[in-house]
Amino acid sequence: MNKQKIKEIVKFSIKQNIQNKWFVGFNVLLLVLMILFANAGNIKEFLENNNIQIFDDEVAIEYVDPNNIIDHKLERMFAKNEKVTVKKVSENKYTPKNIKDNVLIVEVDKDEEKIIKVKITSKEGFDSAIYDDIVEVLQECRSEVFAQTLNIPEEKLEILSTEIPIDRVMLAVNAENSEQKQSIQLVSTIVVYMISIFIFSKIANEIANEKVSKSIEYVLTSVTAKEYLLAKIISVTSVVLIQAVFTLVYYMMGNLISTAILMLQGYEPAISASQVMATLDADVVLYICILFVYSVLTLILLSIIQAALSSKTTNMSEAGNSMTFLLVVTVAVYMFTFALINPYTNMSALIYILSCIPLISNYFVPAIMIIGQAKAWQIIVSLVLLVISIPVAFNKCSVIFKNGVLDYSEKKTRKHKVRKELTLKEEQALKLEKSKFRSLALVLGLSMIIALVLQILMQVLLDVLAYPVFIKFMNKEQIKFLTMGLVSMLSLAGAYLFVKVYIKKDETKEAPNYSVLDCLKMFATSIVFTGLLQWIIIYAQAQWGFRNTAVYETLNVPGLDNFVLQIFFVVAIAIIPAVFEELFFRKGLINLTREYGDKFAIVVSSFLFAVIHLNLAQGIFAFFMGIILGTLYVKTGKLRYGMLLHGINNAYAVFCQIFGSCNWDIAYNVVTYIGKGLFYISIIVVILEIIRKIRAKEKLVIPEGKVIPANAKYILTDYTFVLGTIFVAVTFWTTEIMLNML
Amino acid sequence: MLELKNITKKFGEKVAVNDISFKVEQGKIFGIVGRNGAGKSTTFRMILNIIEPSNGTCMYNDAPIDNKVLDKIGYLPEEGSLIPTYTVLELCEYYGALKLLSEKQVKENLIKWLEEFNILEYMNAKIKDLSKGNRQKIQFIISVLHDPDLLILDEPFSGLDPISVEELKKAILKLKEEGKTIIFSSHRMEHIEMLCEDLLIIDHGKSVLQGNLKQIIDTYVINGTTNHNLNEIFIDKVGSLDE
Repeated sequence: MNKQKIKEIVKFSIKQNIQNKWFVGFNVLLLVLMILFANAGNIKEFLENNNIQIFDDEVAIEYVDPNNIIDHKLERMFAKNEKVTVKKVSENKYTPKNIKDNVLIVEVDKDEEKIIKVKITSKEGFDSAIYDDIVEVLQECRSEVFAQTLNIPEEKLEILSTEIPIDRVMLAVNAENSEQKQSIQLVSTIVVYMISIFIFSKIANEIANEKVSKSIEYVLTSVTAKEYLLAKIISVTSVVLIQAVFTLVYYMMGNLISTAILMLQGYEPAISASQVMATLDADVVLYICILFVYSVLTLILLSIIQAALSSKTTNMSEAGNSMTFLLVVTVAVYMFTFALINPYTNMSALIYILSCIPLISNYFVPAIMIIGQAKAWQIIVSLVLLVISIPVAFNKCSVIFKNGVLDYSEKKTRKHKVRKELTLKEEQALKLEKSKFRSLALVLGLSMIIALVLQILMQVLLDVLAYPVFIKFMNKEQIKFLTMGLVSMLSLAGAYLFVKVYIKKDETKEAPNYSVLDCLKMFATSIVFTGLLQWIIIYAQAQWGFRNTAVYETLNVPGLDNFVLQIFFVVAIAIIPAVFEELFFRKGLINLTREYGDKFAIVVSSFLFAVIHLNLAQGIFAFFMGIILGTLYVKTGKLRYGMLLHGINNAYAVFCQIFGSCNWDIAYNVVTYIGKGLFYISIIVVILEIIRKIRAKEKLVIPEGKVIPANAKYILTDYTFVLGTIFVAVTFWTTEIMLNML
Repeated sequence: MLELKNITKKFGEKVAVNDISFKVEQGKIFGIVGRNGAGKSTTFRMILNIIEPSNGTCMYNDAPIDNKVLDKIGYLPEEGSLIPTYTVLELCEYYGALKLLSEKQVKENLIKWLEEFNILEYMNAKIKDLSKGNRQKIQFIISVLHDPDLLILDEPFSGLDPISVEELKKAILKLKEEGKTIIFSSHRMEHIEMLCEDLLIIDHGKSVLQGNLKQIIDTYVINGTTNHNLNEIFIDKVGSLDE
């Protein structure tokens, strides 16, 4: 980047912005407003002392009160107000013709339902302050009448109309400072929003101006898009900064005048801003600092995005529209934060994740800090992401900017997809393709029907024919699992035999030929995925009650201490499904649909695998499991690994169930340790494999003769690693201390 | 010396510039002729590195054109590239700043050129108050403000009255005498014939005819005869491409 050029553009841009009648006019206005604002108290006092009143019409209130409900309360209310006279009269004698401008008639009477009944008559509208006072008096009267009818003292009744006083204590939160922080956040949000409007409109206008006048083309022959974008952002931010300093000066001038007036009148001067700062607690100051960092970084990020958006405009009115978009988004995010986080919020994973995302974090993290639930990692991660996002957004946006700023076309005409004219031959081919696909779908559907029908048929047959025979030397549970095993074995085998007829062998495609070691590595990867999937399912069950009742019912078998039953149980649930489901769904269905691509085949087979479970909870798990198993089959080209994985997955649950229900604690623990161990070993294998692959890639670019130290030694002796670790640790530690301070 | 090799630009499916190559020797005037939308401006933008070519290379004095090289190139864009709310001096200061000229240098050069075109009184006038011809002159001044070695003029004569055309022609020839290389485009053949030594005719992004102007006029055969003017040659060539 050419710093000199950026400096020149910034200089020119600032000059243009400041030597400008609008800037001068705006500042004069701001100065006047600031002086008025700082002296509001003095002005009010001046007006009051000189008896200058805006509503100086005299008002005569007359009230009709046969039951003496008001009891001179109105007279007391307006006793100090010289402009208002109150008089009790016996009746309302006014008609629209004879009523005077300044007369108000209040008629009050008792009422069965509403306690009291009121009618207020006047010729026209009148001062709303007087009206509000009358209403207040009448409300008091009503309570009094109500209390009288119920025979309770009036004071007790008043309690009902006040808010419930709640002593809310949160021991982790400094409540006093919390309030201060809340108001600081509100003020900062408003200030940041005002500044964003200012910055966005400046950026949008300047870029649109240069684009619409097409001078950008000349500019881009002198500087790169990146340099230009950077210069624009710096110059606009500087102008805003200058304006902010000016505003501060005006405010101080206004304060000075106000203090001078007060001192002339012999009063003590009011407290200054520095005195206010001194009264703030250290943690509030810290909070302001963090808020400031977030605001500044977010503003920079937003102005980059605004610049990219402005480059897409083709006329000046669009420049305004592009601004609205970002402003609405920022307000929406603020509202969202407001809705999500309040002192009674229980932090959830969603809020933690949201609080780390740039553009949102500047609202979320301060809000979470107020309720005292911020964590060190949260602040660090969100800040790091915010800082990283700035150059990333800058690079991305400068590309968008460069493409957008040279595109002068008013509207992108949407390309209509022209239907290609097909020749007769192409049309025939298309039809053939379609019919082929249709017959494939038919085979798929039929295979599923065959599997289901066979299942039902076998079940009925075994129940009717075999049950009476088996019952003589087996118990009910044993027969149940025996039939279950036989049914699934035969139905799946039948469906597979049907599908096998339609599988076409693709001679051109060579079966993958990996060594056993490579296959085992893939197998390890699949185990990692399966473990993660299991973990998610368990988490989902615990979190959302997503219970897999079907599996639970199948596994929950009484009398599992019977050895024969145990064997049937293992065979029917762990071994047969592993072998035959793999055979049908993987070997059968994947090979059948593979001509439309491996991914298509895997997804289709997984979907059908999910459907055949006839249960939503189990189906979802089965679908993802199907994808893992299908991928393993396609990658290795061998069915045995899938069978093994499927078997292990089922066997784990089966053995846990058996040992659990028999109270064989040691065996149970061994099984769980084996399961976990397999998972961790697989993770290690996968990580090692990834490292090996990266190193293999690195080896290609390392020049000859250069010696690479051994892996672990290399990392540990590298000073950047050591420094980085120390840095991370120190950052976490200090942030944790900071948070404890809050 | 500017050299373009097999330069191609695609916007999505559309090929704006298709495999164009040419060389411009130092101190010569090179003309590019083509109808509207033939790819002239796109070619210039690729030379100026505003847009990147899909294929091919641009070299100036055997070096790729980066920002350092661009500071020695002057560019007059096709359409008004002037911010209407600025005055002539302000605008020149801005564009001068982009080329790292000091305010003093900008003012000196600006006065010199405004005197050349006899429009010195417009120095503090706003762009929006200028006539189209005067705007074109200001644009030309901006493109030569930093004393470039290579000048790229995209349709410099459009919107000018005959007297202004003469003034501009004079200025261009003067720059040529100073040893500057000049490339300009036009869809008016007489301007090309007036100024150029070499030329390139492009149509639908493709190079149709290129070479020395004199040689082309001497050797190009239409209906068995030579020595036709450029206009006839252009119609013959571009017409034949459409068939």
